[in-house]
Amino acid sequence: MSPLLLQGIAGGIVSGCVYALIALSLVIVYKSSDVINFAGGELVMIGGYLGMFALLWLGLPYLLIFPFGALVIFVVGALFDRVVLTKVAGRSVHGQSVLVAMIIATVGLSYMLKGIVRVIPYTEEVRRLPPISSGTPIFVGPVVLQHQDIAIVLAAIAIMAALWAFFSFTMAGKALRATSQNPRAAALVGIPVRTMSMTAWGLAAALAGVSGILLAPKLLITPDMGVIVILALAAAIIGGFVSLPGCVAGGILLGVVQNMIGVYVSSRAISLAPFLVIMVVLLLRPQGLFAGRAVAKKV
Amino acid sequence: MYGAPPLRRLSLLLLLIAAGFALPLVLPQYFLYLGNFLMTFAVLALGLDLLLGWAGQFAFAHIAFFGIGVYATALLQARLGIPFIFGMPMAAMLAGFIGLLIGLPATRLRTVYLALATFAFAEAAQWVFNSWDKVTGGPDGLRIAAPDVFGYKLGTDPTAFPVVTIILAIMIAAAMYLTTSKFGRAMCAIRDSEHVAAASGINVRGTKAWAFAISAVYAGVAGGMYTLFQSFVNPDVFSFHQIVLLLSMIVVGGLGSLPGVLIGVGLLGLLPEIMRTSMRGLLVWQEFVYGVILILAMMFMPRGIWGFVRAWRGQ
Amino acid sequence: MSAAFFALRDVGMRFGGLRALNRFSMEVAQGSIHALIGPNGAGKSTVFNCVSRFYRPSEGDITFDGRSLLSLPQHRIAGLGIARTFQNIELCRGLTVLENILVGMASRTPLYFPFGPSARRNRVEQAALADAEELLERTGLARHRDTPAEQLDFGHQKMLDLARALACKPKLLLLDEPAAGLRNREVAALDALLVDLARNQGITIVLVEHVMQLVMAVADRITVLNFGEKIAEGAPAEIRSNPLVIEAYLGKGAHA
Repeated sequence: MSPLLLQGIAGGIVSGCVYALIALSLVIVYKSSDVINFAGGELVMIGGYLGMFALLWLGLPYLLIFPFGALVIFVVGALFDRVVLTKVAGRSVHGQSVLVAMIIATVGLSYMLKGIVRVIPYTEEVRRLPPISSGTPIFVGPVVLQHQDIAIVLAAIAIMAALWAFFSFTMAGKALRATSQNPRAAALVGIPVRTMSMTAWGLAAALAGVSGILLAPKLLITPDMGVIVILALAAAIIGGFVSLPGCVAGGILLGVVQNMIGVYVSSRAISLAPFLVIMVVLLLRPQGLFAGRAVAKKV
Repeated sequence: MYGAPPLRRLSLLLLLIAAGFALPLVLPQYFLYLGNFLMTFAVLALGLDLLLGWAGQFAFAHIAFFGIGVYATALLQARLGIPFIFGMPMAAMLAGFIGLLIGLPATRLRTVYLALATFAFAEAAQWVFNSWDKVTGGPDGLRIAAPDVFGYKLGTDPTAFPVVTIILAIMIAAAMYLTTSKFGRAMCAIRDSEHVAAASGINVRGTKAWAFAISAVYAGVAGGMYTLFQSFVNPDVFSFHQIVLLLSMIVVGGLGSLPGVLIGVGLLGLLPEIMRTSMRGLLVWQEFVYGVILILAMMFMPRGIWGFVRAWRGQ
Repeated sequence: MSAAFFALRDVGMRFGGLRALNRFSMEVAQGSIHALIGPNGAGKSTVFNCVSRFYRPSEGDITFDGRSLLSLPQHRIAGLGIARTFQNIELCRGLTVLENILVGMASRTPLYFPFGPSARRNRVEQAALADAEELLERTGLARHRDTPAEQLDFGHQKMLDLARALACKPKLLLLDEPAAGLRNREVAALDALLVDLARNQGITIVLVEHVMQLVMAVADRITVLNFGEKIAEGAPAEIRSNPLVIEAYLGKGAHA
């Protein structure tokens, strides 16, 4: 295997981890409330800015900016769900028109977040968040990895492991799963459905925010950073949009495929890759790659 | 939802056309530009609402068909010398045909997947608009020559205004007839219960595919309208941002209602202009205010303005 | 054996690993009322869904008036004269009562150019409207003509589901738990309606039902399903005293 190919794969895994984290954020929201969170990208962007703010203004040590950012964005997400979404949904079941209204509310949130950031004079200049450590790059065979890249992969693994443990072993995690599968039954068993919804949103938002902090050193932080959500959407779809492990696989697959296209086709084609992947996957397997065989649905 | 549209409502359209001829004589150019722009968006939004609000299909490929309409109409004139009066219908038919092609496999997909697959198609289309420079001019854009209709040269806002108004009136009338027809009922049945629709003898797949095609034709027509008063187009016009804007317009106005769509386009279309003139010093707050308005609208009128009006009237 | 008006022959249906129907056969005579009963999960609604072509049976055949249904797409079933109601009252909630009826008539309403006025359109719509209004009168829903379906109370919603099925002037009517949730008075009215439809209008009726009061009063023949298999078939009196049936509903030792 040529060094170029290996480098491409390695790079793909790194970016794939970021896509996976953001995809997880989107899917958690979807499983909890059937809503596609159009503000996902903006939450990532806010994460980047918060990280920068914490590091450069508050002077927090680098490792602490993660929990700081996660906490603030958790609150933002939970508040949005509690104040806005529960009002939009009203007391009715999630019929289609209510879902659309909720989706437009997330669109509103994305504009609000972008707007707030643009208003603060601090953001007028384009900024960059320094990486977690900038030493000499590490060589793994012929592949060159920046410290930030390794940090991204490690952080992603840690987060996914923590999420898996949370959903499988803790009461709160199981309660969240129960609520997303059958809200009525969950309510009957005594699970506070509204709190669960808030928690899911907060968790998803925190995930997006942390991805932003991880991603920011590799990109310029601008209010329009949110466009990366498109790639996360592609990753989520590949995974079937219903499974969390699917997001991870989808993200990494997408990252690697993107880089392969960049190496073997052209750099121009890279931006087309996610959309082609989405269309091809959905054409061949309408339920995504990981959602199991399409069985006749019970009427 | 049956029979035919009431004559009362149809006569409003005649009023609209009259205004289309009268207003250019009194309004300054800037307002006429706004009018042209809003009317084009109205046709675009109507098409999207037919698919989303009436047929219940959450598909977002719409903006791609708008692009096909613009580029095809402009290129048919520029490269093949086909005048607007034939070029626009041809472009609209092309958009409709591609819409049908997309619609057929798309009917197999469920909600989220449909939304995402069609959104991917729209993004792929924008990539094509950007990359196929020999035809579309790529990111640098395409100059649109002033079209002429029956000898009148258009291309400026005052001259295009009456024609744009006439096209809008025709498209609204067609939508009124469509939504009160058997096909319109079939779309609603599919939206509310595919089982009832199928068990009643409605060809669900076929109806969905045709709904896609009709929606695409509307987008293609809007594309043609665009060439009447704009002298330039580039792929940025057909971005994801626009489809989100369109969606917001029809949801805030009222999904699945003709008056609602028009209200939504008018309101959210004029909003940036109103903000620009009234918030001179606070321009940078524009996005924030827009977002807040969307959120508030959804919190207090989740069925849209027209839905709110209807509920209030029903009391 | 003479060809039955409506018959299922050795129909089998699988959902993944679950066998919902196993070699199920049933024959229904024209103009009769045939009931399909059995405990919950026995596979009764699955039978209807196979007839409606929502599911594709893995084995067997379903014939109506001489032709096999299994080669037809879902939307051709209504055109043959087969209509059905749904267990969970599926209605077009956003449409009014009248519009729901008009939807039910879709198989009988000819096509016309939808984008503009025409004489044909006027004719078709007037005729459809007239038929729909008449059906509303007959089913007692005329008062609610312009009410959105979602605002109706439960009893009226059930009636609308039935009226919608009747709108296509069916020869075979499949009713999925028509008496569920109805009060005794309403069940009696339903009883009379079903008998009228079958005896006076010649409509063949198959009903899936749990309410035994209705089944015993109205059915000419009863088929009993349990775990996807037919365990008994016959006239109401036979079924009522059949030990297998009693055991299926109440468990072993119940009939001792």
